[in-house]
Amino acid sequence: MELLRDALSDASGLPDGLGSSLLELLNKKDDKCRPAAIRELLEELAGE
Amino acid sequence: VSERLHRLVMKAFRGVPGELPVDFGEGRSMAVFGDNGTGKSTIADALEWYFTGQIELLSHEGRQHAIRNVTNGSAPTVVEVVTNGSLGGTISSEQAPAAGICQLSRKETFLLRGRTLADFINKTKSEKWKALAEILGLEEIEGLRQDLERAHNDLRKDAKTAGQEFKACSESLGLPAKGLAEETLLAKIREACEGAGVSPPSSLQNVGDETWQPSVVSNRNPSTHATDLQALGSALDGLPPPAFDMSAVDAWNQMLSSAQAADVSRLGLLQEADSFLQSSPDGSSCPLCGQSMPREELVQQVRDAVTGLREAAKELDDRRSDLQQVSDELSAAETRRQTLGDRARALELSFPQLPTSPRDVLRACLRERKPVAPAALTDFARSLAQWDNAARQGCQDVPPPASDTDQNAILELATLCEKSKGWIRAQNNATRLEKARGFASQILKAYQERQTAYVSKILQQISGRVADIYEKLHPGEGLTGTPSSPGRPKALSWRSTFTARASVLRTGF
Repeated sequence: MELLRDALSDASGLPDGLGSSLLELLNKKDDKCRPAAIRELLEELAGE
Repeated sequence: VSERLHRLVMKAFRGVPGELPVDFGEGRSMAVFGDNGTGKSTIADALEWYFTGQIELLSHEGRQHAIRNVTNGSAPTVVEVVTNGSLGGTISSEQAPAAGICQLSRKETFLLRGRTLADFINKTKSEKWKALAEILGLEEIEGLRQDLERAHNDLRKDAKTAGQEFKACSESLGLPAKGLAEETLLAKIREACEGAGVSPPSSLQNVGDETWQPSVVSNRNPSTHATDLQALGSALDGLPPPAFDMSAVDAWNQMLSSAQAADVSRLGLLQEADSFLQSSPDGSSCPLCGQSMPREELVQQVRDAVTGLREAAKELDDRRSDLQQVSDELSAAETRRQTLGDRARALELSFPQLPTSPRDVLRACLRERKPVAPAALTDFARSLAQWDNAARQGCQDVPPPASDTDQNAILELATLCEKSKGWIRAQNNATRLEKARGFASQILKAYQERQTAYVSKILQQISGRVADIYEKLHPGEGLTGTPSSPGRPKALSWRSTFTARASVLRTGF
């Protein structure tokens, strides 16, 4: 998770709050649901 | 675990009759070398005994009694371990090690003796990488990368489909694929408004969110039938061509024909066996077939089998998910056409029957883990395309309603509005998915770069230590060791290169 935190700070042009929302989501979801949950979050933020 | 070993003391242990302390300095990696029988493996044995409560090699040979050195009378056998953390302590022939330490040691893999290292060297490249990833805890890091990649791939696939749908909508409206599409569409609507005597919308957004309503159209009460007919024709023109991801079908079929897939059904049974062995520490016969074998070997075999089958089950899940997506696409394509067929029936049009869907067959294949006949999908896609053509022709064959010029202009405007709303929806969908795909791509790329850097650093440290140790073991050869940088994220390598004048020796995998 620490690697992802660093990677999110490297990536430019991402919407505000994406990083924290993604990290929060990954801490909650079990491994099996993670790809679908990541996708749902990104779609939601892309629609805003 | 980041603790380091500082000191080891052996008393009446194996080949040590009295007491032998070994200092490891700061706990850095070190090489122990000497002639056969001088006690190199005894150090490894002492650590294994302390951390696991047994010595696997002796247990395997039925010589557990050889732990104790009896030449010193009745003195108890003792091993004392000193670390820079909390894992240190004492084990003796009269006192077992702390349970927590044994439990912790099961999570780790030790590469200690020459024999263990020889086994490691004899593994295949992928087995070596797997063992190293397990030791270094890289599986979780790689698992997150795979999840990010999966989310990215799913978004890429859906963004592509949404892009195709948007393109089909644009083509049905005669709009350019790139640039000025919105201006062109607004100009078309304004022209149609002028022809129908309706106040034009101020922007395309007003058409999409229905803040602009062509009230004149409804006030003049045009023929509902003709309006619906034109709207149906527009919807048929905007249908995306039927196409299914046949690579997902091929991957599913290949997975099913593999040996791992055939064994996945045994996972539950082996997990039970694993739990059973954990809860019955004395068991030394296989709980499945009753065959007797040394307990540690049995536990390891069952655990290896469970690990392998879990990986196979995960891959099977991935292939199932891809095929499920094909099944969803198939259902969506079918539902769209059923809806259009219902609208055609309401207008008393004779549309052809929809081709028989392989939906149930596909679902059964998913449920029962059976291979899918690719022809069932390609034939269905071909039949749907024929149905689309026949349905479009059916709409065009209807004679135009007998109406005056004004009414035709209003009908044309109403149809254009309907098509425009569909175009705006398709554009929004395609834009949203493409934007989400872009986010996913950026995150995945940044994560992969971080992952590569992280793993590279670890592997370089290992390579550096290998180089140091090699130099110390071969002082007369004048070799200089340099750790090599690992390569791509999916093909990391561990190498150390030693150069001496013109000769180069490489080691690693």
